[in-house]
Amino acid sequence: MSGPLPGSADDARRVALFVTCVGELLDPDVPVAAVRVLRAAGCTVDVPEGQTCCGQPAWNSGFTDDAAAVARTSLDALEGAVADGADAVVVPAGSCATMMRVYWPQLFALAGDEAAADRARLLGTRLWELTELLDALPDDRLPLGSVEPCTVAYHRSCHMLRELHVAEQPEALLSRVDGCDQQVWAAADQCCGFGGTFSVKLPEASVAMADEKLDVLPEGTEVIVGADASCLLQLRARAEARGMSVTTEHVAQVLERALPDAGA
Amino acid sequence: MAEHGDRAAFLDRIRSRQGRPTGGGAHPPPPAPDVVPELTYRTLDGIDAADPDALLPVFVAAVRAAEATVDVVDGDVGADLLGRFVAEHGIASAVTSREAEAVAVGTVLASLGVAVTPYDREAAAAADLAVTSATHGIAATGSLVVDTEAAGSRAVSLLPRIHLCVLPLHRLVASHADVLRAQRPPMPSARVLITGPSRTGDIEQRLTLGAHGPVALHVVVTRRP
Amino acid sequence: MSNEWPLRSSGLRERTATAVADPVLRANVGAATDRFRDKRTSALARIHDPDALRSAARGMRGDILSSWAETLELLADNVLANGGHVCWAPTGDDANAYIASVAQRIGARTVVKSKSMATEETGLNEALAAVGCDTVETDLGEWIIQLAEEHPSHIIAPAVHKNRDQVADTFQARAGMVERVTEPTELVAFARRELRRRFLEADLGITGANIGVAETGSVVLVTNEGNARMVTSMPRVHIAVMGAERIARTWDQADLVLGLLAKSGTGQALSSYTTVLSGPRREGEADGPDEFHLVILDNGRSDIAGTEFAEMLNCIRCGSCLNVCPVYHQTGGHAYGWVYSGPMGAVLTPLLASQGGGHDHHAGELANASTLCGACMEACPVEIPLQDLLLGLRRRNAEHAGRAERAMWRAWSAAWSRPAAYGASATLATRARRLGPLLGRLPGAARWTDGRSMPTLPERTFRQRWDAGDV
Repeated sequence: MSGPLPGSADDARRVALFVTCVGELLDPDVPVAAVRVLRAAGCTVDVPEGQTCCGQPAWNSGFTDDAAAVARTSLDALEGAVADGADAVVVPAGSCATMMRVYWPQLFALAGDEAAADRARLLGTRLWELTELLDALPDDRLPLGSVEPCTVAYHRSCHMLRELHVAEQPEALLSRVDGCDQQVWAAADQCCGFGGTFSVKLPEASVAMADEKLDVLPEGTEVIVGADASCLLQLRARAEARGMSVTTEHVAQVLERALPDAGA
Repeated sequence: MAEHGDRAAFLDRIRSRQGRPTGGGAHPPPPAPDVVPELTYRTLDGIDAADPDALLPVFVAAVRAAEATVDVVDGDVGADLLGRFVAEHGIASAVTSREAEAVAVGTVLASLGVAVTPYDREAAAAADLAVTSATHGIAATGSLVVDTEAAGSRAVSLLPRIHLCVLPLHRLVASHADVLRAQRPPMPSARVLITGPSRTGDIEQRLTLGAHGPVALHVVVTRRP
Repeated sequence: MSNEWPLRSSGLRERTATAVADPVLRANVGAATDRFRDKRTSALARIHDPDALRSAARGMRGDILSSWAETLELLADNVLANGGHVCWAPTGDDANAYIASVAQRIGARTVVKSKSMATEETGLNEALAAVGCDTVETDLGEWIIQLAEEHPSHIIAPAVHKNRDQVADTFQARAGMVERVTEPTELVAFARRELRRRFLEADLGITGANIGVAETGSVVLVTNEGNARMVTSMPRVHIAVMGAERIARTWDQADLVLGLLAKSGTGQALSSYTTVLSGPRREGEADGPDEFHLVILDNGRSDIAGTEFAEMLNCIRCGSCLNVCPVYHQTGGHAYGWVYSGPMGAVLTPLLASQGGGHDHHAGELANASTLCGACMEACPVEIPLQDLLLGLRRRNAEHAGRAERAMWRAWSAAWSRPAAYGASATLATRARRLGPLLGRLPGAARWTDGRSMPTLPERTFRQRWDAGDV
């Protein structure tokens, strides 16, 4: 159900990073952290020129052709990187990875571009969500040390959990980080209420959904960690408005802080 | 019996619509299974489905899980058990289905001073107790199968305050599949799988027994020596 | 569609905001759906490999409907052979007219109904009132709603939004309750007494149909309260109204559906009563109706066949998608504005509302009542890909979108499909960061900022940092 599965992780030496539009515009610390962690795992990281967005905002709003034009731009750029020798395409956002691996073939087919649909299927066989790849590497490829002690709760984002079926990997990586004290969050796999345009189309429901998660945040949680910057944006924005002291961090940022030479 | 409306037009419309091509989504459907699979219940793991004695403890547990009560007796349902039951539930009147097992219990109840009548609507609506048998007991779900052909009425097990069902052990089957999938014409006009007493959770999700039907269901499984 | 429903007289946002602002509703809906969801999980844990069964059920439902017309034909022939009547109703009005004509022929005064979504859809109660029938809903939740003149908020727990005091108020004001009681057991006992009287005096009983099984001409009804058994045992005439897609060819197929239905909905192994009806009362039977009628209702269903939405016809109305939906969890059913709610309602309502090919903006808007989180497909016993169908409806809405919305997406697409323009827009955004506080005052920004802080934009985009060698 998750589309074609990636090949062997250990073969991934040269990787092409898909930055995502949220990473480019709103939260560049996330792709920066992803690059550094991938490098620490022994990868050569390329950021292919010409990539933009996966097209998800328009696709989820029903504007297929507009979404396809944007997605095709990114498909061209990433395909070029693979042609130039990249072993894997890595996406530091579960939702965008889902869009590209699960929905791109349908998107292009609906837009009447069967050739692009086939190309997307092929690209999907090399496309990894960041933690999916990192967790699949032998542990000695990614040496993880310690961070300043912090209490974290992990948010499982919907598309990554239910469409990509990447569930345990981020938490498995975090458990390798000394000082990262993971709490059990009863609402961990409940939707944050963001949903792209949903957050502004039905704002009252969206805020109520965030509240329901935040209401049961484990006592003493300092950081909400996730693998989708957009979910974290929603949770952070609501937590701040409520005057909660909790912050948010992408899992790549926690791992970056745990790299052995990070503090040096 | 009669048919109303335009069958041909109704069905032609469906056929014409189905001719259109459908779009392929991101989650395409699987092919139809060659054989429709049965649910397999974990409580039946390792149990010989053909052996009613082996099914009995599974049935008893499932009946209780459905908020019903159950006794297992050897031979007939005796005056001792019924005497205790009548006293405990304050039973003064009872109606019976036409099944032999129910009629036999009715005779004992009458000897205990209970006003027993064969089923009729008004008597049943006022009665404390319904006595029926069942064509099957379903171990996996703790269900009883009562049909009109055997019982003689649809509502005998429904109208009185309490339902007592006498189930000969050899009528136990493993799962609902053994009953439902075996159905062939001619069908009884009505057949009901009864799983526990009537209930509702419609007010604040509070489980309340006896919504429209019996407030309690008691099963007596009878073993032949 | 009945005009009384709020679907066309209000907007989706207005309805969701109203629901979210009602603390009683939210607490009750939240508690109920949590409970159903947990019980479902436990019930499915008691069988082997429920996911494989869901997948098989999906393939099987598709198979049944691939010979939809033939299966209906077999069902109808066997209902007739069993001594029943069959009515083919292309529209809700056709169904209502037929049922009203039966009621008039037999001189029906009191009509008892067990819960039926199909007759909610057709507005049957109003049609029966017009011919002088007093129609009583007998599912406890439906009766409460009928008395209160409200609409159901959950497919299997219609009054889930009301608490005990509100129910007691309704019984006092509308059902002649003299001595006020508020304990659920006492409220149920009151309803039992009142409705028992109506069952015994009723001339006509009306039910829905969970499944019509073609090979034996049978109708299956599933209830917990026993009201459907009353409705099909006491009155002289029983009419079952079945959505035309609610069929199985064989009992093997029906058994799989019934095995999954209660587990998925209420989390019971089976509901208290699974009733199989195959025609009217027979010679020598002490009760049961003299006449049995099966009304087969299309009302827009055939229009769904052969479209990308065809899998919606597989729905078995268990309610599990409501119980897992994080949006429904906040709003309950009224926000959906019509008979069906939750994810299945957000898909089915627009499809039924557009029969004949028109586009209904009010119904279409329901496709936005989802974050596409996918919890619904994961819970669905027949694995309907509800998120795919919601996306399909959004595509259909986009075809009817206003000029401004189209222009916005076209401009977005034009910019972001050109790497240079994309880079420029990103850089521009970082320049705008100093305007941050002002951005929050732009028209429409309140849709984000009411209840959420504005995000701060970074000083440099990722690409700027990468190109500068700072990564």
